[in-house]
Amino acid sequence: MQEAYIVAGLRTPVGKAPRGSLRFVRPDDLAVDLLGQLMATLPQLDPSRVEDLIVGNAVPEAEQGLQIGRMISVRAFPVTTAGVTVNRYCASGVETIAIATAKIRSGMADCIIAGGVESMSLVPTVGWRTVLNYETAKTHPDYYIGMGLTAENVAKEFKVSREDADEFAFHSHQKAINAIDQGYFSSGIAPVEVREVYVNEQGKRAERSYTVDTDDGPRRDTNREALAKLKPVFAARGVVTAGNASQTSDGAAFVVVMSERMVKELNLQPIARMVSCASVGVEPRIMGIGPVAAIPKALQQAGLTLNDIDLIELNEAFACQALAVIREAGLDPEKVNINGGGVALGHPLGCTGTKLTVQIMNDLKRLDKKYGMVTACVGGGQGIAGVYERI
Amino acid sequence: MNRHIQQVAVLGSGVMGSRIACHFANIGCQVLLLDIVTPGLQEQEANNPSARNKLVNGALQAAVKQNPSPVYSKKVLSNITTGNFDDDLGKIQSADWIIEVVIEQLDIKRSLMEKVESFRRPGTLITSNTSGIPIHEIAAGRSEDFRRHFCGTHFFNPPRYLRLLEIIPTPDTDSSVTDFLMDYGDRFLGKQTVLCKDTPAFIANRIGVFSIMSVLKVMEELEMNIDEVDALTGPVSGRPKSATFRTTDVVGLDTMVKVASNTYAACTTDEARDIFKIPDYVQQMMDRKWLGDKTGQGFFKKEKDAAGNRTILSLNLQTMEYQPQTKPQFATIGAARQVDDLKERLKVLHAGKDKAGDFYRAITYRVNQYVSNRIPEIADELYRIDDAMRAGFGWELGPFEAWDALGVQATVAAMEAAGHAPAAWVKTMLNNGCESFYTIEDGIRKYYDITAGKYLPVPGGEAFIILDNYHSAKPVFQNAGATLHDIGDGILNLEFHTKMNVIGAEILQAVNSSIEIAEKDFRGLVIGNDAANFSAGANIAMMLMLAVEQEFDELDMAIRMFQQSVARVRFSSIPVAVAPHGLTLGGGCEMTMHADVAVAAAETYIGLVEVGAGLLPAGGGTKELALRASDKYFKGDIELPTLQEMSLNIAMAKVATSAREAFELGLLREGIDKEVINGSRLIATAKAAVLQLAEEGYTQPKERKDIKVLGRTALGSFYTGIASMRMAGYISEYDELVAKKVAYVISGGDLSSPTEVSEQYLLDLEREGFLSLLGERKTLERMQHILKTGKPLRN
Repeated sequence: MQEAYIVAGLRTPVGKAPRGSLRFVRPDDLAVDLLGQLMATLPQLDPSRVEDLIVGNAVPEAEQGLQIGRMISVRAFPVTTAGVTVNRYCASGVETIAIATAKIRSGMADCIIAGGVESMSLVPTVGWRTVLNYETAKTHPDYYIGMGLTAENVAKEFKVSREDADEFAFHSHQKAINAIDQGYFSSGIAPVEVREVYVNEQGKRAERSYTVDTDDGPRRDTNREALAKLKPVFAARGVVTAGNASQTSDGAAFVVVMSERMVKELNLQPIARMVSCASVGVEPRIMGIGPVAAIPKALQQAGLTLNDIDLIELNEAFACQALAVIREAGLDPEKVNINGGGVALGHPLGCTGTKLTVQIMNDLKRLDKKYGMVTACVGGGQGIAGVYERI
Repeated sequence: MNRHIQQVAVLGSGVMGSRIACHFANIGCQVLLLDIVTPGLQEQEANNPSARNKLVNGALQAAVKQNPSPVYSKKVLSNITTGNFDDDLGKIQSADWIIEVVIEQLDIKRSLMEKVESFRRPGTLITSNTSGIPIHEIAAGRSEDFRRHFCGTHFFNPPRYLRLLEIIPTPDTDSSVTDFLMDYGDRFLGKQTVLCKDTPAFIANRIGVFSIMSVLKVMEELEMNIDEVDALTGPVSGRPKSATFRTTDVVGLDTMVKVASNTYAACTTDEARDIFKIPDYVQQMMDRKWLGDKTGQGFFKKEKDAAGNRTILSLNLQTMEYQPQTKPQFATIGAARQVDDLKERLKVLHAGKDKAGDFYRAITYRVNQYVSNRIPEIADELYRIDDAMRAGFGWELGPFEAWDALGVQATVAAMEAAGHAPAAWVKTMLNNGCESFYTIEDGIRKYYDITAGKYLPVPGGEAFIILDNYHSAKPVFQNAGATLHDIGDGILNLEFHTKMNVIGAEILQAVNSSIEIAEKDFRGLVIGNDAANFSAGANIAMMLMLAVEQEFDELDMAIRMFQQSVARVRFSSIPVAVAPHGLTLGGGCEMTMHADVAVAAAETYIGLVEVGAGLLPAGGGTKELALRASDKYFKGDIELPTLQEMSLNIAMAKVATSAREAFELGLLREGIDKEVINGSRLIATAKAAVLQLAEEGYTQPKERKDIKVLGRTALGSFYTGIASMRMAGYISEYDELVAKKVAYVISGGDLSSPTEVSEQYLLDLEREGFLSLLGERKTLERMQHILKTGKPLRN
């Protein structure tokens, strides 16, 4: 077995869906653009040596359809570079890195680019046409219920109050604003040049271009009073509001995973390696609790304990869900989401896992720490946890 | 020359201005709503257009938030643009009609008119909306063209809903302008227009406030309390449910006092001027700001008792303290309640031997005397006063109509004996051999014209079909639930007349008979009535009885009969129009949906509300929505969202708040069904629509067998969505059961794949679903609750 290393990683800024700065940017265009910038950071790597592109995507239809992994690889690389689309919903962006790592470790490849892309502006969260199984709907509608309702179930079963969820959301914004102001994200973000053809105030076709280099989501004006005023959106007397749930988002992120042999050959400096990665199923009704099942398994595989982990990126699908996970899994809140999370920064489904990986690699370096973990709950009732070691 | 109104400028965005703007937007006019620049702007905002227009925009938003809404549909708001007098007055150049609705102060109105004159295109209509300022004074000093096109209008609040529009020309107003406004207000704005003279308070407020002040006076004389008076002056005597004092609380005591004081000040020669003096207790209420709903208390006050229940207290005018409401008992009222017909009932009320009888006589004699003396002061023709009182104050009968009902001759004698002799012309009329103020000849309504000394047709009446006018003629068919009239030109009209026009066996039988008769000897049929509501739905009392007795065979028969009768509306050899208005619920909605053409009043509140009673629409309503969804599908369509939208009409018991919204919900069909702004023209328009279908050559449609239902490909999503609603706590467990039945029927059952089915297939599913719900205890509880309280039960 040879080790697999991450040698480069970048993400786009995250746009707010459906009215943010990337609202009409196609996910395939976004990914191709990002891959160009990623490859530019590795001049030693001949694009023809990238064997496969693994793209995480949660709703692979419409603009994300036609096996988007291949539609991206054929444009971003020589025709010989393959492409595949992987869907584990919100965990897709971790899963793709795990697949790349496993393939390289087992000798099936030397260089794979893994990541994810999602445009929630262009493709609705559940897709355009959803046909649910009639028999399942009769016996187990909880397998199909919306994520908001699962978050309400988590809040109820794990006793997370509205006040706590709002407080968590408030801090998510505060931390994210701080990170932006301190420039913590800048080394991980590849700016996006947007060209827009639109109808101007005179009713005529016109063109304009602008650069997006900062996440849309965090709000400086978020305050506790404003959050407290919002109405529950998923249930009568519920906990989840538009203010304490993750934002719908657009974004892309990729990392280059490479075999030890090729790293040496190209004389590259590895950034990190994925030590372990585990996915575990939980009741779909309380899917938000998924990380509680996945975290111990990933730690065990890595031969580590929670104490060894220096930083944790816990995807904030919902503030109440993240709080339940922190409490139930016994995570140290000081280590979790030091730069805020999905509530403030957005959650572009299939992209999120890789985006968080890029962030945590940069934070480990900035803070000179060793182990990081990216974990997320997954629609349909799963949790994923990936452990990274900084090299 | 034809005058067309496309652009309207409304100057002033107060309560009336904003709502008038909304109503013009309702009918499709492009409205420019202007008001002053937001006062007190900081320096940095002084040039910011959105800050400058904050006042006008805020006023419009406040209006739109009102319930009931001033707009037919939120979509019409795109017809309104806002601005301010300083920056945007120039835009009135393109207006076809400029309506001034600023504060009721003569100097302000005059100075605005001066500015308007510098921008107004010659020939443009310019009107002032006021309830108190003499119209001719507002236009003083303006150019001849201005004055010729200037007129007063008096909309009543809220202008969308209150039917009256008073038109007040000045001596300078061109008669073509007056004629135009009288017609436009009626046909386009849907109002009862009444031509008024430029006299204080015009017609409706002059008479209406006189009537209220008389009530106050008589109440004192007879030592009655406000609960007693409201019991006597409500629906039992043909007045609105809010009677006297509740109405005053809603309108605002200050408004009433203002009209009374203005009238007292201006009408120095009025023989009954003293009645407009404000009584002490009213002045005390004014001083204490007990103005009604706007200040939280008036003649009534809402409170929570110790147990947290809401109670209403009434003001004791002797002690000026609020006390628990009383339920007055009058023998006369008890006797009158037995009488359905208002005209007959008025006789019973006025013949009463108790205090109630004394009260009615005292009020009526005063009001009769007063209105007779107001001709020709405020109107030359008596029908204008009746029109104004019906449309402006919600009187079922105007004063002269009520007087007719009591008998003119006998009432005059009683009035004279009581010292309230009428004006001399009334005696002259009787001497001329005219025994009533109105008469009906050949379906044409005529009034006694004082100048001519004889009966003349009520003008414009030819545009309306008033079913009441046919009541003296021999009906073509009649049973306990409905009457079939020949309304001319080979068209019949079937009028329902059950309580709330609830549809039971008699009406269904009448529908079948009417269609049979029409097929034999006539060209078409209108199903329409001019009651307050088209129909509150099917008679669930009968179904509940059968369900309790578990007579399921009988129920099955009854539902079949219902389905067949509704289907007959569509499947007959003559065209049938259904003319909904007001509440058109459940079975009433289903009948509408099966018309060849539905001709709906703008104010139609239509919906399939069966789930509130724990039922589903089984008179073809669910079938029809499945059919309409199917007709909307196109090649490559994902279909489910369309079906879902249709299903939500039933599952959420949606009731459209206007005909416009009913089109948006799919309960009325774009391009086929029609909307009539003025409800009074409804039956005439429906008749014209049926005639047109007959003229074009009408062929009976065949039963549809190509309705695409989605089966289990839709049901999986529906069941999940419904279960989610229950899990989220939005609906009860029983709501879930009922909603799933609705989903089952509208999906055509659990078919393995999308399939084309017949109307009968869906009707059978409807019936099965309906019967199965009637076997559920909670449905029976819901039905019982509705029958008892009129409100749905969420069990």
